[in-house]
Amino acid sequence: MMRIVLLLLLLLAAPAPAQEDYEKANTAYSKGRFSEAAELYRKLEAEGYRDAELYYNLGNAYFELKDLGRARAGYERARQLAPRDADLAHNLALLRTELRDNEPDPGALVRLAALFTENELVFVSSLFYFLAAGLALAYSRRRNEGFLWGVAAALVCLLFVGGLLLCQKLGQPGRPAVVIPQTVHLKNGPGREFTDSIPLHAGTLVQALRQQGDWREVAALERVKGWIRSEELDVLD
Amino acid sequence: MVRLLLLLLLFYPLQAAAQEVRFEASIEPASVALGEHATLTVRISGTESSFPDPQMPEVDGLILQPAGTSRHIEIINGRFSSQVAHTYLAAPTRAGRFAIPPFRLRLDDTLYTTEELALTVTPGVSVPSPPSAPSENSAPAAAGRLLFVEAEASPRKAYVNQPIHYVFRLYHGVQLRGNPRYEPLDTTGFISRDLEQQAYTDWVDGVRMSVSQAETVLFATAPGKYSLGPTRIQCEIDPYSMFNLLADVDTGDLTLAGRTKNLETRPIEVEVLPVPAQGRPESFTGAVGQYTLRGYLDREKVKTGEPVVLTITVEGQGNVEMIDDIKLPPFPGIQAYDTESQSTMGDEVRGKKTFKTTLIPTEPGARVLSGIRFAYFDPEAEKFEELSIPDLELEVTGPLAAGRAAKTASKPPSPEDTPPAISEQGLRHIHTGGRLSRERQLLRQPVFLIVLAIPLLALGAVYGKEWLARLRHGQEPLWRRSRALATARSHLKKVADYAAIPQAVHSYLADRLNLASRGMSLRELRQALASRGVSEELGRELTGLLEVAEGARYGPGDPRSAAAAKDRPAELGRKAAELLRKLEAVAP
Repeated sequence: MMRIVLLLLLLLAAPAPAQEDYEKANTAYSKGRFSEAAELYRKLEAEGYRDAELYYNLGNAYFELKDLGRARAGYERARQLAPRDADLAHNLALLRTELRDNEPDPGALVRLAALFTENELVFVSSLFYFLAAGLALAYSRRRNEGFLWGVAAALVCLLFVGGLLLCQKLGQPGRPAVVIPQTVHLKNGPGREFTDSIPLHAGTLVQALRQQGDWREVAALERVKGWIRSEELDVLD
Repeated sequence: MVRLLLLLLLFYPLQAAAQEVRFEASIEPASVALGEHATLTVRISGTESSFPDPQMPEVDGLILQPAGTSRHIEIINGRFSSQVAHTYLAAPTRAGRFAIPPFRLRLDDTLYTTEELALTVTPGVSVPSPPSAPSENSAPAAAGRLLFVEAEASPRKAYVNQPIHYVFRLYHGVQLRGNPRYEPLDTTGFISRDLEQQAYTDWVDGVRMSVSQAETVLFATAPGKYSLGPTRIQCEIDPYSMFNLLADVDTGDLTLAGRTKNLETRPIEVEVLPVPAQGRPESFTGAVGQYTLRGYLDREKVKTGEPVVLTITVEGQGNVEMIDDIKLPPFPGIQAYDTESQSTMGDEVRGKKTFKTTLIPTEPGARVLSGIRFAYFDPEAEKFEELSIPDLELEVTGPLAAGRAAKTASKPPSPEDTPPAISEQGLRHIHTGGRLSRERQLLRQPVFLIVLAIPLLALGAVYGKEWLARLRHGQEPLWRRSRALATARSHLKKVADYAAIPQAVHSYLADRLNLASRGMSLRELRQALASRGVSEELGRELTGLLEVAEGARYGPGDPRSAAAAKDRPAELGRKAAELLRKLEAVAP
């Protein structure tokens, strides 16, 4: 039994290959080899790692490479997992100053919801949900009016936190996406033969709407809709 | 046809009624341009079978040329009336206002006169466009034919992009079989638009004819001399129509019916002039016609970086589809992007074209959008007109647009632009030392969703049970009644002694038939069952069973049959259950 425990401890202590790659990527970044670092971070991302630190570092690597589109995508993904990270907020603000397109204000509620991760909101909502259910069960045992008030209060809290969660998920008309090329002209239809609409620039956050073939409709700059090739867009899932 | 009717009249005795003659004249249109003609019609009606020709006045500067006569005769209830219409073409040789003196008619020593008519002739620019002379196969109606075509084009001298109306008409006074095969006009060198076809009837030389008219609007794309036509049509004359046979007699064309006729118009020459090069305004992009211009912004107040849409609409007579984009002047502090346009043409040569341009202000402040102009060439006035939109005001609030907005305001962004430089010391370093994770979304974890379902199930169980109990309590008699047989059988199945059998039967009778049978004698019980619709035989069986059970319960035991006696309550219980099942079937 002791042997098995020791073996398990050794396995846990040994660095996994992915972790080694991650550390290699960090080293490459520290030494200024940003392309190599970005490649390694991308490889880890492709392996299914969904980590705030990984995305933040990936964003930094691309930022250093002056690839504002991919940097923004990395930061936005990191923000979904660590929305209150100070370094991330700083770098993201820095990147925004470099953007050439103005983005509309999403509104106070969406901004408030963006301060929390999806899991945080789900967890807190669940707590209120369990609390309301527990109080309702208690009321079935002892008909105490206090339990009913407790149920009502828990439901109000659940509605508020659940509302924030809904704002986070459905507060925008589409799925958030980042423009990747330095400059791309929106088209007035899903094809090259359509006329040009306004140009968008790398790093601009748009809302991805419907897909038609290789083209995706986006809502940009609050009121403008147009079409862009899917490969020129990084949709943040 | 008219002659035939006149011949028929000879067979009717005529009784001349009182002399009633009407003699009147009209001219249409009352105003023409020099080179055009008006149609003057003189009508005589009365009870005479024939009228002499009216005396035509002479007018200086106006040629009146007879163009045909039509007669119409009616006999209603033996009363005869006739009407004769003389048509004249009034062709002015100079501009001015003409007074046409009265026409005169002398009939049986009575002089009849019409009223004086007026015709205004304007100098105009119209070029005379008389109907094209028919080809060999399309002799005019004046020659006595009942099937011919004609075409006309107006104007014959036009500017590039000016609408030219080409009208083709098929006249037929005979019945046609099927639809004529129409060979459309060759419109090479023109942008053409077919207008809706028309069908109507018209009197030509006293013959009522059906007219099919096709009209095409042509916009020449380049100057030069063009020949419009010939336009060809093939029709088949209905050989079975009595009308056609009569028509043949009238016209003398005995071979007309049943034949296929190929008709064609003569080509019409038109001259297309270039739009004058002199005096072209800067905003002229080739529009010809008469237009109006209007424009507006969809918002009057925006923040920097927010788009605002400028809509400009050009509407009027002419080929709006050919209008190019409207050149916008530069607007300081505002970036204008590409323009989308949409045009719609009406039924006639009128249309509307709308241009929408997205503007993005890059600097705050009160902005005035001025100098939006559109010029066109008016072919009738033969001069350029320039329209402009009144100044549009836009209030831009907020800070300067992010990044290099100021730069983009003066120069449109292009793919060649290099990305902006990163601040020298702004970027914070990467995070290290953390362990990689695969953070999962809770809402996508099946275990979490199952856990979420637990409180709901618990609440459902607790409150559902409570609800069922309350429901049962509220409908106790119904509940007992529905459960009576099941309860009794359940008790009888596990019966251990004789006492349990009457107890189960009485309980069943109380629940199912609402019968308090415990204190009743067996006879009273039979009567009570009978009163509830239970057959006498079944009642007797049931009371017999109760008698056996009560007897066995209170009677002396037989020690020899102790073992058998042990089985008897169960057997009696089964019998009781069977009887209750029968009772259930007949009980109300």
